[in-house]
Amino acid sequence: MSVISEFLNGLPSYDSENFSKYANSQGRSQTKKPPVHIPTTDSPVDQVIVPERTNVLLRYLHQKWEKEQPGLKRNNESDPLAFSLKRPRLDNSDESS
Amino acid sequence: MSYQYIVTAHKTTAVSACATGHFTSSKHLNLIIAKNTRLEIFLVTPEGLQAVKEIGIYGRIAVMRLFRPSYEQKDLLFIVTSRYDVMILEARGDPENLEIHTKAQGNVADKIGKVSENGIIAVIDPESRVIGLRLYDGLLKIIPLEKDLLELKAVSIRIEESDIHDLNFLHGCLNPTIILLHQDPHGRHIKTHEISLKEKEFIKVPWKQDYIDIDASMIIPVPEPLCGAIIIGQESILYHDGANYISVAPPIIKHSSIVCYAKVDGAGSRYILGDLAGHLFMLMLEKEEKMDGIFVVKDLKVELLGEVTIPECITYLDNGVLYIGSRVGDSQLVKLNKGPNPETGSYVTVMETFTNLAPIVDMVVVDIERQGQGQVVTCSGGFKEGSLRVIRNGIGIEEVATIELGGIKGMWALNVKSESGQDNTLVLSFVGHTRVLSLNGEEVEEINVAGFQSEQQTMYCGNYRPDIVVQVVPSSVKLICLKANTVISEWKPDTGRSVSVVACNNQQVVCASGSELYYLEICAEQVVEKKRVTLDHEVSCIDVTPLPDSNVAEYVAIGLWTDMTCRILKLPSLETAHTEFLGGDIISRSILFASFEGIHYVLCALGDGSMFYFNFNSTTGQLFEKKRVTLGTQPIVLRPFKSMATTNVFACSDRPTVIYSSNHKLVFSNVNLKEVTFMCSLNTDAYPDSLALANDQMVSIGTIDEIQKLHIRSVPLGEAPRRIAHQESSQTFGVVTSRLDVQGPTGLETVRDGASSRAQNTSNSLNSPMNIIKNVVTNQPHDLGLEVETYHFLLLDQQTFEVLHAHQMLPTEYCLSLISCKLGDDPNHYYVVGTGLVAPEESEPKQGRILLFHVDDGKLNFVCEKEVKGACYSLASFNGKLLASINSTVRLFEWTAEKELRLECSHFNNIIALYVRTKGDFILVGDLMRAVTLLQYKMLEGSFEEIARDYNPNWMTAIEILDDDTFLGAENSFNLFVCQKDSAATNDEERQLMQEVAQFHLGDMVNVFRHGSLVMQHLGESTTQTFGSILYGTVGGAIGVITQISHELYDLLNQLQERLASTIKSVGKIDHSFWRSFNSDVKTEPSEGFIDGDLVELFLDLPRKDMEEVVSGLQISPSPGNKTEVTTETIIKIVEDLTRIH
Repeated sequence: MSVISEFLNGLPSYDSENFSKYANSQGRSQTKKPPVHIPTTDSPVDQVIVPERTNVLLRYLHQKWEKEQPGLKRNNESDPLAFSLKRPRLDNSDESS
Repeated sequence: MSYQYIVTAHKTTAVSACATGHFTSSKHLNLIIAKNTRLEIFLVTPEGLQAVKEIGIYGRIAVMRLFRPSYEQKDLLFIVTSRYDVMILEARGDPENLEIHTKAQGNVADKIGKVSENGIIAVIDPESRVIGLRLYDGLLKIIPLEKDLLELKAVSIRIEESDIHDLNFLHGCLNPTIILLHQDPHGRHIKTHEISLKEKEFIKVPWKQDYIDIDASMIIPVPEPLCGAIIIGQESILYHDGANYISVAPPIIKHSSIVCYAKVDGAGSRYILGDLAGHLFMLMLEKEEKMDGIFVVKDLKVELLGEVTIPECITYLDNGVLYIGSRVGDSQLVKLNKGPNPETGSYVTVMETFTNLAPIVDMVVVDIERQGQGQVVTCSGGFKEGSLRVIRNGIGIEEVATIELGGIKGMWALNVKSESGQDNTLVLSFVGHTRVLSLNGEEVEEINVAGFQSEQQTMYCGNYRPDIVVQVVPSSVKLICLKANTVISEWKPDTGRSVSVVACNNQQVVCASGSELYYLEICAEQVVEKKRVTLDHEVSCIDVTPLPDSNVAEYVAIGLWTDMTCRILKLPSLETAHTEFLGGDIISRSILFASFEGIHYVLCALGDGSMFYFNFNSTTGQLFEKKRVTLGTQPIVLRPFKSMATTNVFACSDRPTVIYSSNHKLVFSNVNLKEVTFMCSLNTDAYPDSLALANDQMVSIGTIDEIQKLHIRSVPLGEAPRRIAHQESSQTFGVVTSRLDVQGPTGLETVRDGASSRAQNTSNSLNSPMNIIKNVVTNQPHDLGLEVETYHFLLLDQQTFEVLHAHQMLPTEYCLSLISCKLGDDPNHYYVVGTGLVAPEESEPKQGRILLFHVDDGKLNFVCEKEVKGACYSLASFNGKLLASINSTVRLFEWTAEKELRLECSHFNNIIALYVRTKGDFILVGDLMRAVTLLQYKMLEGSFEEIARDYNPNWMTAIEILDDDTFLGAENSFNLFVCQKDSAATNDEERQLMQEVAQFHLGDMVNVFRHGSLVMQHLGESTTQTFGSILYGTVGGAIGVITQISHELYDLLNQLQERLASTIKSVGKIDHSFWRSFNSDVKTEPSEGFIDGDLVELFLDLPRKDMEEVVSGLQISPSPGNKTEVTTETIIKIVEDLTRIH
């Protein structure tokens, strides 16, 4: 018993007034139905949720490859004078077939 | 082609999710409830729950979560729909003008991926850094939440654990960390994964625990400072925080499975748990402070608090009040009390119950009182929440007091020296005498009022002033002064004849004696005759009610015998302003001036229960726009009354009706009372804003429910009803129920006092002498404590729903179908029950029975039994024979003179024939997975011929025949379709193929279709033609109507629907056309042939200028090739007519 009393003692109260004036009508439903929201004005969304463009398997393989071969891409940086056929990509999108 | 209009008559009531938070403002405490496609937002106030808004979403809400990113002032709402639309919603504005702003939205479906069988799991990191979604096996989709990005990317992370039962985020972690509960062939385990939002990868496994409770099902993440998680199992509850764990196995949770929880305090040491049996438990984490100041959990304490409805979700509101949302019973608002109830030991009090019809498993449409208006009786609820619900369109009167007195002919409320100015007296008029009752609080006392004439029948009585009362009796019109206690003025007809009809508005009196009509005025405490006139015929009824904004009437309305006219005469001259011939030979019995929504009417009721109503021009006294409606079969008395400051009219008759106005049209709504002979408004201290209603036996005092459309009566059964049928001849309902018994040491024990245990008479199939299935294993050695389903067939009285008889089926016998019918030449009506015997090791039942019962004097007589080789899923009466679908066959049985069923013919081409419907010689068969087939019975050959079939792979849940060629079906993915047989096809092959001509995504599973309507079918006035009416009942508890419309109307409504879909902005930005497209595993195709009535009816709620914008440019084609524009008024009228079909 004391466990239950400990539990029920001092239950959280956000506003002690809430439900204090609740008129008991023997359990009958007295809460009215809410009015229906009919929005006629538009406001553009703040953010769009987009799915990823890379296939998850390809992304996984890329990540695995990068973990196992971390050295490869570093080679060019240690030799700044070496002529590099590679030019850095300027756009950031992660494109795959 | 076939064109349908579909609309919801009663919205879904099953609650799928609920949450408490600060959504409308940081200072408000809100309760948000999700019901399939709708959100209901409430405010928690001192008076209780205050309704704020209802929001429709174009999708089935799968998960709903309130959360608050650090940069927000109040909570945001995150929703995922079952078609993977996601949205983040924000409330703006104050509750009266609430706007819902879609902050973010998108669709996160993947083209490939195995949809998880456990459903969609969506959780949000406690610090709102990321949203986690488990949609497909082997993948976790995360959406990092960053305030300033325009795009939020949803990225999938591979997850090794493929069979995940639950998943959530832990609190107090540097990086978002999930904990998941997964299963593999060895058992169930918990594992944590830390996520790097930068890499969008798992970086490590902080901790895990293998081999926890084999039935562990739920993870409860614990907030700081304790952190860690609670894992709920079938027999044990575990707390684990990576370093320590505690497990308890409280015996009280073993009996059923815990399915939901509510966190009670912010520190996370108290929780409420709910299980499938409706038990409410408290769970407390006992903590102790370690030496370094850190708190650790030392024990878990679980105790039973009480029993509530079977919960789907629970949320803690405030001050010990919880909201319990249910899918199989009424949802509830409950209070946790500090001490136990001395009788029951329960700590729970139910404060309020919210009606829930879900799931609707079967239903019938009946017209018990022969009122021309159907009532729907549903089999609703599951397990202990099982009930029958009787649904009627109408208004409820809540009775608060009754006075037993018969023979009342008239009744008026008076204020006799009342201090408060309220009524305190009721004058009751009988043949030959009058009685006066004084109402003092709730006490009723008969009194004598000096000067009052109590030896005659009072024809009218009212207050001219608080101290002066007018009383009209056949001999005279009296003015009685209450102070002086005497009659101060009296008028008698000079002919010496008695007054036959009178009307009085407390200042003017118009009375008739035969065909003499007198106009009297009350002024200076005298009744003075001002004018008299002799009419052509005797007067049958009079009314002299003034217009709403004045006290003095300028016109009097009268009805005359013989020439069947009603006339409007001017006052005081009594000149005829208008004469209206009513036609027919029934005299008018009651006439009334009434004004609704600023429009003036004259209502004239006849002696046969019908009523004419006209618009009244108050300047010229003319009547125009004559309309007629039938309200009953007995003479009607029209009485005005006030309900919440609007004036309405009560039509007293054998079918009492309230007449009110909505959108400038008169609406006639049945009242749930048998008969009312007279009524008056009553406004006393004890009974404010009430009505006094008299019938043959008594006077009731009550209040009228706020004018509402559907009235639902609940008949709790305590066990799940599965099938229902109505038998008019015996005035009973037959109901099949499923009861859960528990295996005890000596046999099955009944746990609950349900309907089957309360029957007046009982019988058992085991005892039946005709029981031909001998090899049923009756002594099944079940495990102790195992729940076993036992089926009964119950007989209920159609008015009181008392259980007259309960017949128990054999062990393992499931009742699957039920009808009431006559067979062959036998004049008796029988209840026919179809069953199947279920053995766990068999893939489908191999044995079943068809039973026939006859009702004799409130008892069920077992008439006949037929053994069949499978489960009898569906039954139908077919031209005097019995049609049964048994496993994969459809069989026709004849009823012989020896009262036996003899097999005549069969059809075999089905997987499992679940549903049959018949029309004439045709039979529609709904298959488990092969859609629908049409059969024809060939009388000469005595066999079935397969006429046509729909070859689409539809897994059917309900079917119905619309007409000879057109068939309606509901399938497993919440879609509806219509297919047609092509009679004009040129070759056999084409004729065999049914074409799908219409399809629509309803968004809820339909279990039953029934021809019928909730409204009176007198709508000859409507110019908007609809054909037929089919009601549907769904798993979510919704009831709707499908009716057929013409091609022209469909085209017009289709245009209207498209415009409305763009004018009414979709919360969450989901397209209406995307939502309503037929969507199943096999195909997704645009909706066709159905008009979404729920959207169309919203047109009437738009502001005028939006209405005009929607209508402008709309065209109809009254004849081919000829297009004309329509006006807003025309569209309003068409849509209003459509609202009247439900």
